[in-house]
Amino acid sequence: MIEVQNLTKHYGNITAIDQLSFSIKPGQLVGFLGANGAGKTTTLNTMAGVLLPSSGDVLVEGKSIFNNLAARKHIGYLPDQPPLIDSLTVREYLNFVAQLKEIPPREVLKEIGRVIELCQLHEVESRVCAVLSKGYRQRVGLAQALIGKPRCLILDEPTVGLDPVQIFEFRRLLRSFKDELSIFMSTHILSDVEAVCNDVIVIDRGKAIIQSSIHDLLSQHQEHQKIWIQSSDIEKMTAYIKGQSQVKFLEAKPNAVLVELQVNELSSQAFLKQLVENQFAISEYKHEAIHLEDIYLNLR
Amino acid sequence: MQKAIVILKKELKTIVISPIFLVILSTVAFIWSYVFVRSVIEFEQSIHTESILGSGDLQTIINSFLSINYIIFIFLTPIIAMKLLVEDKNNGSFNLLLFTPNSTWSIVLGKYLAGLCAILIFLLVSLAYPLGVGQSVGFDQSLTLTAYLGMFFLSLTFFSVNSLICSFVRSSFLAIILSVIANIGLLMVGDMSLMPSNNFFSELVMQVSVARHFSLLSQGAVAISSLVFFLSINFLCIYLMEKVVSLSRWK
Ligand SMILES: Nc1ncnc2c1ncn2[C@@H]1O[C@H](COP(=O)(O)OP(=O)(O)O)[C@@H](O)[C@H]1O
Ligand SMILES: [Mg+2]
Repeated sequence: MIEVQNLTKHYGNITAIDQLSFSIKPGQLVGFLGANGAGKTTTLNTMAGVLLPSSGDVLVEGKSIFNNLAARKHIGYLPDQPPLIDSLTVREYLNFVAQLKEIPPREVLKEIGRVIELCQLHEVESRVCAVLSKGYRQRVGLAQALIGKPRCLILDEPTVGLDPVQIFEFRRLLRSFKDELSIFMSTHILSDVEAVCNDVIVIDRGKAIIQSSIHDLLSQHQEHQKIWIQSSDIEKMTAYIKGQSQVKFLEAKPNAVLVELQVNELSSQAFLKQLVENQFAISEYKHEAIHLEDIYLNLR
Repeated sequence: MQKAIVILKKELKTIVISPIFLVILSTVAFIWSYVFVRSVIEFEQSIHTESILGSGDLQTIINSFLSINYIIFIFLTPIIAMKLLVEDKNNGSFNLLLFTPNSTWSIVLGKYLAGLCAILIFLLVSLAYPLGVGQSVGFDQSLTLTAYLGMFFLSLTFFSVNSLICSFVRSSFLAIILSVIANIGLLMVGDMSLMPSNNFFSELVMQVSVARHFSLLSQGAVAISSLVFFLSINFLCIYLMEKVVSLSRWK
């Protein structure tokens, strides 16, 4: 369990983060969303102990990471720039990290083997870090974070700069950890959050403006339900819909219309029944899924 | 302290296998060889003409060799300090040391010890020349050894000041320029030829003059005061470096 309490960080007279409070429970996968410059990296660097806060605290299992070095062993951090050492081979590098994280010498080999297996680094383990591709650099960075079996992984925009296949693989890798540890992942890519996380915190100019589970967030916005309705008689149906006050007409295609319902006023079932009663032949209908993206864009 | 050793080992490994290190070491070794071969030829000629083995002559040769050596260190220690600190900060690997459970002291100490070892490697390689030649003519080595002790403390002092500079500079180029200037500046404080006539102030400056303590050591006068002097500069720099690294996390 990680608790972030009233975390504030000033750079000179810039307030990068402002009274941020939240907690990450075991097994929770939290997406940390925000535009560029919103304060994500600053928050993550402070949570990992790279930066010290102007005020506030970060507690791991009740102990502050700022005056308790051992508390940091529970956190694995992958900064926005993977902290590789170019002149070392992947194995030498992981060995160095294991020593920094105070892994007992007898267990070092086993632990390195474990993270190499987890992140599938067999192919590159004896190459020097300098020659690795972007995707492998990210995976070695992740392997580094996983050394010592931390309870929480903190990742700073881990998919930036990867190609679609690498992004897919990286997300799958993250999802595979979900039973063992919690993840706190910053990103400005919404599909990252939807693919990996079950909770979301949105930060804007240093302040948390949304903290919610993704499910709750989506269902709150479910009241504006959009439905595609397919029919052979679009023109007549369009005219009918435009005459209804509870339904908003959005768009028409040659064989379908898109409408928006206020679900608390008129349910989609009731609306479809109404159409059938009015002799419209409906061949198909489909709810349009609401994406985090719609909500996020509406916030601004 | 254990962490400092972990960091020291890793830094030494990366320094020693880095191409720049090998290039510099072989260039420097080439200069040493050249200077030495020439000195030995001159020395042999002087034996033939005077037919007396003048140990004073050999000492002069070794002294001129040493003076070339310390010019090399003026430029060498800034490069070592820059590699250890500025490059590490710029490619993000310095952060690794900050978020894993290490005290700032062990980070700073690890880096310092790595620089110390790199300097020792250079000194030991260059020591092979005077030692080798001195051995072959059965020459008393004690002066050479104390001179090397002086050289060691001088370059370590250069290095500690350079590391302090590198701990708050972000540009490699600027770090090297500032460090070289600092090293030359250090040597100029209390340089006899630059000093005004004898007064209290010049006496004081002499006491804190790197150049004077160095020349005392290299003339064979191993005074505790000189060792204390060099060590206190080093301690002061390490102490300030720890403060700079800690403060940069608050900033
Ligand atoms: N070292 C720094 N010095 C001064 N201002 C900084 C520094 N790092 C970040 N900032 C400022 O703090 C704000 C938050 O930055 P950052 O945490 O990097 O945002 P994000 O990661 O969300 O893009 C920005 O306005 C940025 O300009
Ligand atoms: Mg960022």
